[in-house]
Amino acid sequence: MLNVQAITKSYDKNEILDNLTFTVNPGEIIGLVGENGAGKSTLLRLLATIDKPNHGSLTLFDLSYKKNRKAVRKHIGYVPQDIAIWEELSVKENMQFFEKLSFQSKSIDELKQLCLEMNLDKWNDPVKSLSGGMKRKLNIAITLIHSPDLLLLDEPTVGIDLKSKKEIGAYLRKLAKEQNRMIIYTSHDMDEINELCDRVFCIGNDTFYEEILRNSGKDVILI
Amino acid sequence: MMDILYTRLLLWKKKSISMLVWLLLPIVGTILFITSANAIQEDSKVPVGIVLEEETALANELVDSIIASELVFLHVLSNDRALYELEKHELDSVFIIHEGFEDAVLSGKRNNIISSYRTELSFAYSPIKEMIVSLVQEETGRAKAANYILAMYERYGGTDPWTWDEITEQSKQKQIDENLLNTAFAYSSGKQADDNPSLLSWNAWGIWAILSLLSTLFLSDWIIREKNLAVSTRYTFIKKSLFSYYSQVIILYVLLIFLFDLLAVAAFTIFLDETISLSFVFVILSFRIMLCMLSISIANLFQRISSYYGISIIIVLLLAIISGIVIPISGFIPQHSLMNFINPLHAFISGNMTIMWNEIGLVSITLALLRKEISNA
Repeated sequence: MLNVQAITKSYDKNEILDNLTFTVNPGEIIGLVGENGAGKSTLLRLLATIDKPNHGSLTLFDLSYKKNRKAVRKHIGYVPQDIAIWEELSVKENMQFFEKLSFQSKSIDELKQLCLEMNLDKWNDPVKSLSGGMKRKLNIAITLIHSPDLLLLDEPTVGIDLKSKKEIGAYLRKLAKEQNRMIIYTSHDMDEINELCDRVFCIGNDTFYEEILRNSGKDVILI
Repeated sequence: MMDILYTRLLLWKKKSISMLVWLLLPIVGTILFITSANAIQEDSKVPVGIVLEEETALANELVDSIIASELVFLHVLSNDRALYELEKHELDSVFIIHEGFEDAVLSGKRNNIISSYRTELSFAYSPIKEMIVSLVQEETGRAKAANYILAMYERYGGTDPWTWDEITEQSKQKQIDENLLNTAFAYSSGKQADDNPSLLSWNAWGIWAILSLLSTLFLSDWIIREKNLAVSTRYTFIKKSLFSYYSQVIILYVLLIFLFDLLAVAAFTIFLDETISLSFVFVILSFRIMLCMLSISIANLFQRISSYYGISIIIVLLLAIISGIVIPISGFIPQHSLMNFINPLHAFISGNMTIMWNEIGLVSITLALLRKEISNA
């Protein structure tokens, strides 16, 4: 379980996040919505241990972010908004590159299987020749090499075709429901959020998104 | 380490051509530079004809002395041939060593023992004439001294009188040992060059040092590229600390480039007749470590790769000038001047281990990596 207690984050005098408290349970998919600059990416960076909060505490499976940062990272997979892959390498080489540095070793077959589960079958093709959707899938597949329990995705489907979006969505749902992973997901696509997420956090106390999502039957929380 | 090597090999394989270009630049550039400079120097020698009317030891010794000069390309010809080529301006001037040259020199005579011919286009006649005259004077002076010493033996007697040859040999040795103007070129290999160095004594390892600096700076651009790429965010979630990861990558770069340094040693031995001692290999290694550490420390300060390239070129030009490698300025810079002290190439060019700049490099790179580690902790 991820437990976020009264975290605050500000850069200089600009307060981005103010006293946020929430929990995420295993198997849950959380949608994170809010206008640009509301602090979605900042929150993900805090949850990913890339940044530190000014106040408050975070724990993951009772591991304190403050005291067990390295151990916490082994449970986290972070998919940045920018595609974080080597353009000059092939899909296979990208997977091998990050597997060598990963917390967990995986065989070449396991790596290939991971890609195939996401319908990423262009194993030997150079990344630069792939479509945007394929690159996004690889971006996620690399993050899953060490089988993280908490998956943080910063707009992972931005700018890709509907089919790839659906495939990624279906795979994430499978990860959460079959493998009990926690997933926190930011997107501006309300249909996608509606379809995929169990609960939605509207960051920045923004009622605009709450109203849009009110009729979806989802648990929409202003944070 | 093997994991890091594997990942680097994946990346190096994809940019192998550009990496090879930069890795080979110091070797190929130095060989091309030195061979071109030597060829130009050879072409710029003044063609001079010499006619030997007698084949005595002293006459041949004079010819050898002239050949040893870097100014002159000497042709030993018959009288007719020499004058014919002079008329066609294929020779700058012609010098004739007359019969009786050795006897004249041994008896201390200095008049009319050599004749010369020149044309209106003999632009180098005067300096060459002066050179030959000075060489003949050396011999006549030596002969006169030997005659005088032998005459003293005859007049005053002695227990162990010297022969003519012993006196002249001793005289030549004295001339070498107590020369008024003695120029010694000590190259970075620590070995003193021959006593009669080339007019353009290009230091192969000096040229190599400058080209190595340039190539190392350009090979270190990976630190800026990776810093700017989104993949760097993934380094938070790897099994190694950032300090350990980057340290190992840097060590691999040092080893890779050092392999090419060893290739340079082999290439210079084959193509430039350089003789390298084992201790000099350690000098190269210390220089290589310093170059890599400084280059990466400098690269780490930049966000934009174009600015880094610009500054790198300025650094190379500046160090090439103050090192006196391309333009010989060693005469203007005192041995222990501040300029030598601050020049990171100076120790290597002087044939010494690079110590102070390695310490500076180590501190700067450690600080840079610790900064990365702390910001990621």
